[in-house]
Amino acid sequence: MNFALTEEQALLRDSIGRYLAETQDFETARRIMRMPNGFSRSLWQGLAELGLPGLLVAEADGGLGASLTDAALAAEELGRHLAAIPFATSAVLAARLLAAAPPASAARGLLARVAAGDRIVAVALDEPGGSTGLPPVATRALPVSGGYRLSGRKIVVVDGAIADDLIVSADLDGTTALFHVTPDGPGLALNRYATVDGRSAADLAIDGVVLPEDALVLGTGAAAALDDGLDAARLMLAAEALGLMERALELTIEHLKTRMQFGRRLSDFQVLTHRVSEMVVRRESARSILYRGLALAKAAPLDRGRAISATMVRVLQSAEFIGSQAIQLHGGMGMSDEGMVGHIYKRLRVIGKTHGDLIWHMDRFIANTADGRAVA
Amino acid sequence: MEFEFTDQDKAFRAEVQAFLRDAVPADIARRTRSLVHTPKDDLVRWNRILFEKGWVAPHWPKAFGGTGWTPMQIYIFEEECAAADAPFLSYFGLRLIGPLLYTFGSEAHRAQHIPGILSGDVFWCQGFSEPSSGSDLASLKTRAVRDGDHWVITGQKLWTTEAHFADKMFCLARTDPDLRPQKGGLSILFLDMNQPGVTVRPIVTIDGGHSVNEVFLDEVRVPAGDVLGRVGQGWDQAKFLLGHERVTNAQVPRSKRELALLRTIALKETRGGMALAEMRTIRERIAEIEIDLAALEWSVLRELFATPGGAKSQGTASALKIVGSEIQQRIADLTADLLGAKAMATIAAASDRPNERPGDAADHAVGVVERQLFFRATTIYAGTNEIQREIIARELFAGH
Ligand SMILES: Cc1cc2nc3c(=O)[nH]c(=O)nc-3n(C[C@H](O)[C@H](O)[C@H](O)COP(=O)(O)OP(=O)(O)OC[C@H]3O[C@@H](n4cnc5c(N)ncnc54)[C@H](O)[C@@H]3O)c2cc1C
Repeated sequence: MNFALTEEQALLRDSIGRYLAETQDFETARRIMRMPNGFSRSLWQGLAELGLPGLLVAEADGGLGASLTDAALAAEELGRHLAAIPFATSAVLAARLLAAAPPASAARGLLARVAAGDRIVAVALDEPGGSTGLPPVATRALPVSGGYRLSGRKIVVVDGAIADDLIVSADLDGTTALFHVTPDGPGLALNRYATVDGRSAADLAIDGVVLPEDALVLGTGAAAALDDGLDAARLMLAAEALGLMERALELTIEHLKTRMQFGRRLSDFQVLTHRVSEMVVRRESARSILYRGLALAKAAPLDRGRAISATMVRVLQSAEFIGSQAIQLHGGMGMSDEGMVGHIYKRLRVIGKTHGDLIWHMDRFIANTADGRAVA
Repeated sequence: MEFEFTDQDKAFRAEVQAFLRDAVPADIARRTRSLVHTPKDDLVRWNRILFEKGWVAPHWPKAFGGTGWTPMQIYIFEEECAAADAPFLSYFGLRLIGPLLYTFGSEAHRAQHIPGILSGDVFWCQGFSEPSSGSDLASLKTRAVRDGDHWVITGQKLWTTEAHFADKMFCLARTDPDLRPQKGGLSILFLDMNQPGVTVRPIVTIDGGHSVNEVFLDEVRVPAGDVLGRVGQGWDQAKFLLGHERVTNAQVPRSKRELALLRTIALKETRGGMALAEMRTIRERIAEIEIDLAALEWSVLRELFATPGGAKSQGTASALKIVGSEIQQRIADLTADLLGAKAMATIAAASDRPNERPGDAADHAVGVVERQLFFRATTIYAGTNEIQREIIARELFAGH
């Protein structure tokens, strides 16, 4: 084990961090939130030039072939600067699904463009009444001559409002399959809406969309690829959350040092400095369990799921505490849309609902424990 | 001690329920369930209905427009109003300046202002907090300078709830720069919100809603007589408010209603075919809140029956506020959490059709996320919870 960054890792983190520090102050982040679907192509392109969309894609597929640990360093910078880009969605989850498609397939062709940042791909999984990780029920694909006919309903597709392409999970003959669908084709209606972090999502009504044969991204193996891709995306969201927590702490410490009440700095009140100490304690715990999750990212699925759910539980608990206390210690200013801590809190809340929430992760942690091998 | 409701109390509850069944307009009830910030129009309508019934200010002394009910009856009334999804009436007239007027105000001021507060024709806002004076209210900078028959007020108020639709502000300002604020330097002045020199700028809060404002006062002239009570009494009047609404800030009636809605959501929201209410962990979390709320309710009841006229501890009121505000947050947090991924988006109450709402959200989900976000403020407004704990500690360690 070695917790020091390699030279390349430091370089990666610094290049992303520096780019965001120079281009993405809080006012810019707020301006982007007010743009259509809360998305700035130019921010995405700027980061694409640094290789971000292809970070995790193999070199043979046009990417940089970095590890999840490398990517976590980049994701943390995204959080720190409140950068609203579809990293976990397109560059991690979608890219991993496309990478699992057979060589020379159309999906693999799309991967190179995803790696370059030319296409943004969102993944439509959740259905009404469903839950993350469940096989699709409401969405079905029927084999027809020359391809498939797809019908059903998907909800809360993260980044679905800005996607150039969609990967949609559907039931095909009783198993889960993944299809490539373009959002503006006939039969598909998107309801786009803002999420509380200033970004966007979409619900999909899929009504007999006819797809060619090569729209099938993955048939057999789709469920396992989804499990793997979702866990990778979760780790990136956890890393982003850590960057957000770091920033919330910096802002709060700065606020306590400068805000005067009762003729004193707020940092003179021990109850407040101790609260910040507790925030730091919980951030440290979150960072440690994130590293543990990254270490176990290649474990067998059951162990991996258990480890990553442990990561998410701790990270989300720390995030709620740190985010809400940052608001509390800012007083009224924490409640204003014009302040940064509120936006950090909301991004943390959205992360806490993406690809499984606290309830779901606690459940999976226990379920994967009860499997009979690992106890406690 | 004797813990039963009396027969009179039971009969009274039935009477209130019967009245509310028809009195609360359905559209207002729906909005009360789904909106965090009650629209002015709803406040006006509900105020008018209660006013006509004679029940608009039960907590006031009878001589000034109260009902003469016992504290228990007032509590029953408020509990039933919340259960019927009646909106909480605008706080600033009925809960703050009204009591200030009948406690400190001159005959002339009472006659001038109280009727409009009761009828709901005149809305008030509270101009206390400023950019650099929140918890430390006494440090405020807004000054009122005498100029012949007028006070000329200049300064900036912040977080002024409902300033954008209030007709009047009661404004805490420095009337004597040479005296300490706590020793005669502050007064409460009345001003018209639509008079020259008053500028209101909206502040959007993290829930995306608008209830608070920034108010700029630029040489606002008010007649010399428009001061509450005596000049220099401002600090005592502000402190009076701190202890006046001893149990309101506990928000028990409202939290009981929200807890009931939480239970409904736990029963109706499913994950993979299973209702969340069937999950042991969820039931435990709801049970914990319910137990805390039950204890809080009995703290409120004890407070209601505290010796009338006896010395009242400020710390007790602070304790009720601390627990009440934290319970409000926990209910709102858990309610939003039960929505899962759907809690990523706020849901405009405008859409009546679930499939036009984010995530096909059901009716019961409308407003849940907004509330969760806005309720972060419950531990900040009406005296932050840190300040409330400071008040308790001061009482405990006084003289040490
Ligand atoms: C939604 C909302 C509505 C409001 N409506 C109104 C209104 O209508 N009229 C009005 O006048 N005001 C209103 N307020 C203002 C409210 O009263 C203040 O926000 C509150 O008093 C805190 O002041 P502040 O925001 O300046 O925070 P600060 O006083 O700067 O406090 C920042 C942090 O420091 C802590 N702190 C400060 N001093 C101490 C201390 N001595 N010991 C320990 N901790 C301390 C606080 O608890 C808080 O966590 C409203 C506020 C909100 C959020």
